[in-house]
Amino acid sequence: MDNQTKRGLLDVCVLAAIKDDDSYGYQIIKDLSPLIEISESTLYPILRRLEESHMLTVRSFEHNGRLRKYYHITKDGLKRIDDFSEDWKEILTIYKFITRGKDE
Amino acid sequence: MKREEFFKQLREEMSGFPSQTIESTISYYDELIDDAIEDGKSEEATIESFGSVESIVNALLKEVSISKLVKEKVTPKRKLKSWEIVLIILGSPIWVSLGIALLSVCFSLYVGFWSTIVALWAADLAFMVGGIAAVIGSFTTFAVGAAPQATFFLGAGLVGIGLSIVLGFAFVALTKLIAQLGAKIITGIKKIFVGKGK
Repeated sequence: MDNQTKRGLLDVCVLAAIKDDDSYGYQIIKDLSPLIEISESTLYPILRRLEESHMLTVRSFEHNGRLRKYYHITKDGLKRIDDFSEDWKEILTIYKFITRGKDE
Repeated sequence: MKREEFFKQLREEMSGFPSQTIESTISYYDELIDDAIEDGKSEEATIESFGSVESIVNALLKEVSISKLVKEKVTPKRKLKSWEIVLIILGSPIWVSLGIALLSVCFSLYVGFWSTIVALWAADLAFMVGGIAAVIGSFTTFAVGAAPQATFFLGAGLVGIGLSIVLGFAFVALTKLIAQLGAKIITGIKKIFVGKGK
């Protein structure tokens, strides 16, 4: 996968990881690492970028006597996921056209 | 590496970043270490898995704009004394012109990059257009009965078209290379502002 594709994918993956429930850094990496290569040092800039573009908000909650940051998806973030699925529906149609007849 | 040592190195490497960014980065890694320990991992192994401090800072550098870094670097950490303000104003003929010179150098570098790319593709286009024109020209030349010249035109035209196609592939690679080089230079400029603290 080329870098630009991966960068875009990672953004949406992180948003998808917090789509249903708010989540925190460690959990996000745990959830995503079976799917895509992601490390602690790559996640952090993504979270910052998504926060700056108002796709998620950050809130701190107490956990075991310390603060843990939870990431919460915004309307813009949900829209980004929707846009992504729309784009990929088109790409999937093209993919089916390109690889047609190969499985039969 | 223990937590304290890791944060010390991180602070040093990030010394030119806005202080807010440094603190939030530290608190991000602090939380990750706590969570990993809670998950049954050791502090050292967790910090080890983060990779080098340099790679962490490099990943961050790509996200912070140059203007933010410059602002952080040139904003004094304390209030200026009145004689310093006087000096700054008196020295303005020097530093304003130096600043303009620096900006123009940056601008010309930027323009240089783009004009190289434009020139490459213009040359490619010229080969293609010239080639096609020569091929068309060869037919008209043939029509008036000058067969040797017509063959020459046809050959030259085909060579031109062929060259433009081959060069096209090379130029795609070259354009990518130039763009990557540009990105590297920008990261380099950012690094100048981040520096290694004192």
